[in-house]
Amino acid sequence: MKLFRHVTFLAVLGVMISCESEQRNVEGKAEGTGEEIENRVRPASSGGTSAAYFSYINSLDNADTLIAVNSEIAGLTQVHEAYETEDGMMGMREQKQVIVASGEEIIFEQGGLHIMLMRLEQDLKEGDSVRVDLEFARAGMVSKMLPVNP
Amino acid sequence: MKKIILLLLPFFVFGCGNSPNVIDDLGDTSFELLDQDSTVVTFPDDFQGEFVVMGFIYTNCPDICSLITQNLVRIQKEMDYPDDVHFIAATFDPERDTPSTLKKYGNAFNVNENFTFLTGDSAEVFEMMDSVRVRSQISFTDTTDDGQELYFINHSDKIMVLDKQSRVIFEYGGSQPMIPNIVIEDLNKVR
Repeated sequence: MKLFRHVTFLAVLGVMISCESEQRNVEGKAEGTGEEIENRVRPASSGGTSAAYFSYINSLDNADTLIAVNSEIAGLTQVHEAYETEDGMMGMREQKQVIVASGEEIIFEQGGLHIMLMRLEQDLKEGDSVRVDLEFARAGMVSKMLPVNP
Repeated sequence: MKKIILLLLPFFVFGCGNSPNVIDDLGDTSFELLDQDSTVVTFPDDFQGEFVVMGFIYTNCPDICSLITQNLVRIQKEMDYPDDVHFIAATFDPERDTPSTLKKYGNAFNVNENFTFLTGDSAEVFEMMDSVRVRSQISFTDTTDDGQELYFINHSDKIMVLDKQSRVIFEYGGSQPMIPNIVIEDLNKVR
């Protein structure tokens, strides 16, 4: 009987330990994903849609405003923001202007603010480069040359 | 002693409840759709006997949907292109996402042959979307100066896993960066 009690205790302990090890640490998984700033344009086919991801630092002493974006490889270029609706859906909306404080870095990234390249006039393949022109109210025209990367 | 160990063995084997809960059973449903090669696909019937990792997209959305597609591609690659797991990206914009549009979109992601894009008749597609609780709604439409249509869709952000009996057993926020690791971990528990 004593042996039975010992084995039962060990069995219950074993189940507890093995269940514990199966618990998922979601936070832990997120840690390794990295928060590196991307510098690229996503590959896409002619006629389709792509996006540009990069960062820009306003090195002026004043706040600046991004007022227009353009790229010669796209029929239409806009600044967009991904957002979550009140009822839990994901959406995108255009940002007509983006204000950047003095010394602030603005990050165009997946799932956040990004440059939409619509109605592409050519295929964008890995190894290609794409120029994106940004027009700021104070800094004027700033061009970014970005590699196409998946 | 042997008898005691045999009696306690089920506690070790089933004690953790490794069988996941069934979220939706699609075994009794059937939808006639088209893949990226315009071949008729009956979903989920044609995939019974395989695990399915499925995401929902539209090709005019380069950001959230590209993250979802990228996650599907990453899961497939990191699992070393498993034969028993099929990957599906289904569009909720079937009018514009024709088979050829989906094929071009897939080419940009270098999708593997075990990866299917699904579109089809709008009524059939949206009935399928309803069956797995994927919502979408046109949020913005406009016509540009040169007469081109501009539109955006608000939509669910979802990747789900079906077991070999076409039962939905896992669901995730499809665009999140940690999702591939979690999907692989979950799949490896049930395969």
